Amino acid sequence: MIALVSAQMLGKAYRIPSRKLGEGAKLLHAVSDVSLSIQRGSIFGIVGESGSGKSTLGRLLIRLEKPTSGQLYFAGEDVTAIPRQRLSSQMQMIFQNPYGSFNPKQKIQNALMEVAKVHKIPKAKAMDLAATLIEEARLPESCTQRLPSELSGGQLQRLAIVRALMLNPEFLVADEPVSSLDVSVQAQILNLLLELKHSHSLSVLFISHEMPVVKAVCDEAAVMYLGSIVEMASTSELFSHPSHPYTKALLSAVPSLDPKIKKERIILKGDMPSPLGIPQGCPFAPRCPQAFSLCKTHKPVLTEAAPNHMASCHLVSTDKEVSKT
Amino acid sequence: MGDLLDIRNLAVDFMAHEGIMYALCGVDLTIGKGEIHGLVGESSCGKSTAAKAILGLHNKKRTRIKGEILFEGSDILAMPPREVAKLRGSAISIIFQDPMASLNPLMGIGSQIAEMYRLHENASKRLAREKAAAMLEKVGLTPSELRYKQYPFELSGGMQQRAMIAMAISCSPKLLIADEPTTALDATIQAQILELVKSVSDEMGMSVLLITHNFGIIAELCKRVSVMYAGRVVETGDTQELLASPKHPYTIDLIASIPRLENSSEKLTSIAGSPKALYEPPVGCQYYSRCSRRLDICEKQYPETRDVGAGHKAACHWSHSA
Repeated sequence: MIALVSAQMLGKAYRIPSRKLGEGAKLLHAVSDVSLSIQRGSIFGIVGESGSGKSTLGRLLIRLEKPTSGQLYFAGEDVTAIPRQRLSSQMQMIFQNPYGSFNPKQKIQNALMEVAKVHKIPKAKAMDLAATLIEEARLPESCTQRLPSELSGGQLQRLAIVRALMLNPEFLVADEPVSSLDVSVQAQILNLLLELKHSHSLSVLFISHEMPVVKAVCDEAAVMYLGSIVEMASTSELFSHPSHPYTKALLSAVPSLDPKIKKERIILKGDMPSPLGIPQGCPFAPRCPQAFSLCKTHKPVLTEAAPNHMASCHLVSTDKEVSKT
Repeated sequence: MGDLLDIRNLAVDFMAHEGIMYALCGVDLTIGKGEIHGLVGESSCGKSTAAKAILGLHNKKRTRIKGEILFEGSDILAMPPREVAKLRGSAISIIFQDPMASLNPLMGIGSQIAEMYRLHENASKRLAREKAAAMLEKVGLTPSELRYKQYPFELSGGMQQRAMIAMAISCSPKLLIADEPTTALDATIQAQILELVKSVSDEMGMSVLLITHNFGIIAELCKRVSVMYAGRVVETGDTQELLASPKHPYTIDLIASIPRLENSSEKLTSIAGSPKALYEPPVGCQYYSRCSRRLDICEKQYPETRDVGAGHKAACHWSHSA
């Protein structure tokens, strides 16, 4: 089966002009050499801290940014060959702050109809479509007559999803869709995404910085650090057998609700380095509690830690070699 | 009693553009000496309003404050402004969510901390400088000689928050109010900051009022917790006991809606609707419209706060009748 979205060695480097005279521009590697594939009807999670390049990756996959290296295929077709209009009807995006993604002076009804107008869908058909989607999102019909400021954050985020689905896309990028919402409302959005995955056989790239949220909705997940994927596996495998030290630290940093579960907390020292000065060797080495001499000189590559479980860590690859011999 | 802070029936009304907004409608809260007390609730439930009231930071002209805030037995609300100003920073201090907005961008962080000693302890310039450097060392901003001279923009978010903590605890306050101290930070940095708050509290015997919307943080750090909803504390108790057997429907629903690492059920429970700002004097229980366990009486009469276990209180008709 062909994956819906497939990226091979995808990279994005931004040119940062120098502020000093006589010094050349620097390259900021926001995303480097990312390969992944997203199956139809599945939710793929990307976790990482701020500055790890997860949003840039999302924008690359939806062609909001042009990659500087690598290839990207959508349903087996090279995306550069797909015209913009068709591309935008097949992939859509929702953002963190729903109040920022709607025009504050425009009624919801008009915001939804604008999509239809651009893509030349007859108005009557679009109205019907909007009504069904609004019902599916469990929103009151009357909300179409309101302005964004009259709706709550949770309602508006559901409307953002409704608008994204107006063209019946196959692929949706959700960039931190619940980060600005309260916990009690957050669950409404997550459940809606899970339902849509089944009813519309929608594929979703779900970007988040919260491990429990990723665990709750995603089928597969990748952990990013400084622009690279450090670990990738099915969600159940990733959360039950994390093998990269960074994933382990991220998991241990999640405060547990059950006081009986006393975890060994791994406290990482310092901050993530700037992507302008990615350290030589493993990018995580300066903060890694298990780093050894090899890590400082050689960058590890993604290797199979277990079937369908990739990790880029010298500990994993050396373990493999030891067990082979 | 050994209580450091005792808030009784605190009500705060704002004279807003749209009319009177009832932000707090009778909050009761006690914090013991050396206790880390969690205050949890959704946005706009009044958590930060309560924190500001403790410090007397509300604009007197546009706010109406009733009730009592007893700090070591004396009522902060009845004190002259000068006295309250003396308490601020020395006996009670606060750290906010966004450290960049709280630090002076034009001043080195070392000098900002030294200013605290000059102001509150009348320390000489040299002594203030030494003490500030020691404080930087204490919160892990090393090497302190380098950090002393750095400006806030030269530090990362986590380090800025460390600088804020250094400033807040510089005069050994008895109470530290931490208003969402880690919401703006990444998970791994959040763990560092929480560890710091805990160790500082243990070492100095300082009480902490930790305001957050994250129940996980409460579970790891706090001895006791209060849950707020629509301007009221609806449930208080020992963290372990409250998490194990929550009594107020709001607490029950809130805990159920949190995605966790441990359980693996497909569907999350969500609470229908969302909290609303109060522009009318509240009648009955504010959670009524979202509550799945509501009774007829809930709409008309606000339930009184009663003991539902050892040191565990809740305000709910349903749990009282059960």
